[in-house]
Amino acid sequence: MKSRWALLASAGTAALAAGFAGQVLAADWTPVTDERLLSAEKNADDWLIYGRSYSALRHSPLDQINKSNVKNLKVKFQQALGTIEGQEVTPVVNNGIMIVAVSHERIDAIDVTTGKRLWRHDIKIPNDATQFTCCGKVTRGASLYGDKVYFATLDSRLLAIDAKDGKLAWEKTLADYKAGYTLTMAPTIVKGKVMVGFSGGEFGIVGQILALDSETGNEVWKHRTIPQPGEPGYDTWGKDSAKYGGGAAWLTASYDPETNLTFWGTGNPAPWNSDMRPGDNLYSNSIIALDADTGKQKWYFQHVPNDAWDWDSMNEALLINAKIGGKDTKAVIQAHKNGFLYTFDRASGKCLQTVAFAPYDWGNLDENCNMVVKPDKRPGVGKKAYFCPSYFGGKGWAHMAYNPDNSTVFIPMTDMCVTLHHEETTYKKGTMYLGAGGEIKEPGKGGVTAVDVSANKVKWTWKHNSPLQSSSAVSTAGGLVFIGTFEGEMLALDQDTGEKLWSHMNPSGINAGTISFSAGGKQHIAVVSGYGGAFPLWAGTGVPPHIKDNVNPGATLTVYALD
Amino acid sequence: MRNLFNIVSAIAVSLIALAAESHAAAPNAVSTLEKLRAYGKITLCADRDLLPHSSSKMDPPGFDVEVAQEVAKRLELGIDYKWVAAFKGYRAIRNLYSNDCDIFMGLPNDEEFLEEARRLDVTDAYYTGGFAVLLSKDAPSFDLEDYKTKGVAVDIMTVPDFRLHERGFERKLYYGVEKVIEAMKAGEVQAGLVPALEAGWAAHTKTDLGLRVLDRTEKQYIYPMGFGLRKSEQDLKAAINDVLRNLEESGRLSELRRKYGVVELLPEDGTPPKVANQPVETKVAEAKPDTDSEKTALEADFPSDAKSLDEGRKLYKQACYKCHGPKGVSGGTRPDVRKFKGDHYDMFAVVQAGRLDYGMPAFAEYLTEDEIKQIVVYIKQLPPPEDDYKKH
Repeated sequence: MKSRWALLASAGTAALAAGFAGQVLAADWTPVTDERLLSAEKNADDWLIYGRSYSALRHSPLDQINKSNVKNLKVKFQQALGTIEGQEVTPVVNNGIMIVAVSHERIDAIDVTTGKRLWRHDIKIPNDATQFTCCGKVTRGASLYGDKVYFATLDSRLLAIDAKDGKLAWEKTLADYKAGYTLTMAPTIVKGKVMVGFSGGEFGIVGQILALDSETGNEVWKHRTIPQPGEPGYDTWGKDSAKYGGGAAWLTASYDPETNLTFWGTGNPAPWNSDMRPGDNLYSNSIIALDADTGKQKWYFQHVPNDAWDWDSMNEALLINAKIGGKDTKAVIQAHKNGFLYTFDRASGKCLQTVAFAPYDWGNLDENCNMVVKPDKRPGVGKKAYFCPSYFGGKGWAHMAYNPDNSTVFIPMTDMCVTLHHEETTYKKGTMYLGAGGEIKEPGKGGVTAVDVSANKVKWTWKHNSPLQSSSAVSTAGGLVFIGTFEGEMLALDQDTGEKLWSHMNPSGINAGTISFSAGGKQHIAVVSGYGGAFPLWAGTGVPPHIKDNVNPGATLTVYALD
Repeated sequence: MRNLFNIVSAIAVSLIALAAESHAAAPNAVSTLEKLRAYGKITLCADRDLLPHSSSKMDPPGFDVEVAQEVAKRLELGIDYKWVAAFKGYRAIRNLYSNDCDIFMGLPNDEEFLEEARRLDVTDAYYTGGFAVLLSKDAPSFDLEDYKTKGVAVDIMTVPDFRLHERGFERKLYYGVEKVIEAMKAGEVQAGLVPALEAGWAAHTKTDLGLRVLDRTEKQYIYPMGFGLRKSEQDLKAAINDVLRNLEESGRLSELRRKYGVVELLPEDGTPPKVANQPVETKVAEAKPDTDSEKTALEADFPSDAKSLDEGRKLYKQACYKCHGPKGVSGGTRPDVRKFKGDHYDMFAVVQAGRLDYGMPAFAEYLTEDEIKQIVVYIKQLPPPEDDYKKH
């Protein structure tokens, strides 16, 4: 509770100091120490880490807003963020100060009690940066450590910004963005190491994860997700395909202090045309566990060998302690694009169980969790295949939330199919390296699927007439799941039944992360709306017409609280 | 194929009998020059990559651009560039009409042309252009007649194409001077009658080929070339004419002409070309309906055969799909390419130069011109948005 008192004190000072309120609060920045990060799961007031805690549960222990009073939830303030780029951010909140990264245009520090902006950091990226990325100027957010805000730019720089005034402390160029190495994730920061993984699986990069010193930006270790000549696994890449092999680990990792492991999901191998890379293509489409100090790979599990569908395994790994098969287990759960939720043993990587959470038609998983695909569901050169889920996945990159109290995970779900074929292509710098063509003929649908992980069973599905492809959920101790839709509707669902208990329409579509935190003694819910990202760019006729006709881009921060 | 002289051919083949009305230019309350000075800049429409005319890389800037820079400087104006795909002359008319820019260089001060482009005017000449005789290193004669049966290379759909046909010459058709030069290199042809500026530039820069350009040509192939501008802006025309006179007297214009190897064409009979009073006679126009020739010209620039289309489809996926969607179907956050307001040439220019302020990259560095054309052809044949949600 220490932090709450600190906040109340500073809020009081702010009110008295009138015009200087902003500076007073910003200067009162509470350092984000290792201790605070490690105990983030129990700290109900803040949202310090991208996934709220190192275990990435996106579960808030706050229960002030609950099933009985959620109908009274009101907008406390809204703020236009001044861009029409798609917003995929999960804001972070430290002791009443929210840090919001607005596309790759600016970072704002906002007083969550008043909506007042404390500082703004303008980000400058080169005009041509969007050429080398798949999905516009999207970012998933900034991360906090000590007195700094860390931000990874589309043109592959790491910025260290002073959290007290928004001024740039230093920056470091990490890679050549013109070769497709871009950054869209919020960094994972553990014990003074800022870790980032490059995006660019559609541009023929070689997946890389870097750990950088939080003081200097100097490289501590580098891990390549695709083996190069002489390294184990290189023989799983026929036709010299590892050179532009993809395997981008493009989402924020989770971290387990006990094993000192970080957990990353790797993306699709490049190009999409699987004939051009005979073999399993390790370690694309895998979950990998890396030692936080050295970057050494401790275990991996490849969900999709020789991927032909663009079924990345990039999705976040949630670290849970639950009864699995009746036994108390330290587990990792990951929902995959192929429509299945996997449970692994955290230390060994052994696959313990799987369950389908989204409609699928491609075949099934065997008892070792390996895919057994029906022959007509595998596309090839000159061979069209219709399959579900589409390359957007049964779960897209949008994050799920897990409530330890009922061992239930709430998965944003997409129900969409595609017809895909492969074709020859050549690597061409500055353009995409796909070698595939597809068509989504029916507009996508979606929903939220609740899975009881201990029972390994679907509890309920809340169905919706558009995909929940890039909107992340938050679970609260109030028995609610909050999540937004492409239409712009912010929803509260009942964790037990999936019933919609409350909703509010935002100015634009929601494809970002909803958060919950406490300030001034009140629980808040916050989200940034702003339609965009991959879905409207790549889905074509998969975009439901009611969204195409009605939803306008434009970013807005909305903060809710009870009266 | 990209040369402004196509404009002359376009007129030659599209003589539509428009009732000649003379429009007096409306007097301007504020003079154009005053307006430009208040803004501080004059805007030039030029091709992004069409040396010796212009190049956005400014290395070198191009003959047209350097002359425009000199003129702007002497008018005490800065200069802005609007990069367009200028390889069809009629674009000049459109760009000037729609106020995209104030000047468009290299238009013929020719009555026929001005009758067609009614709201345009052209200043005095800054060089004498037209069609020159280009000879390969081993060409045995300086007299075009000697190649009558062997064949003379021409740029397809230009004045010499039609004229030599009338005169009973064997013609060899090429898309653009560069292709003519390749053919000469390969020994396919020894003589050509091609746009003089491009021919001079080639001879000037590709010295190893030993090309020769004759400065004598038939009178009918000679055009005085000036700045195109809006007819209503007569004060600007007068001001530019003054500056051009000074530039000529000071020797600066000849200096620039030398730099770009500009061949000053002289008529074979020794008399100087007459300005704005030499109607280009043609019988071809009557033989071909206008729309057909437009179509043929478009097909020549943007071939839409199955192979080009397939290449375009593949390249679209590599370069465009990630923002504009599969088969051009936009999800609503980026422009739907099928609703693009403009023709093939406009789209070509946008893909090449980008719209950087809106996040649209410039592809000039990554795609060749032919590749961009293939993409444009692919996009232009996509089914319209209205069909998107029709049941399959």
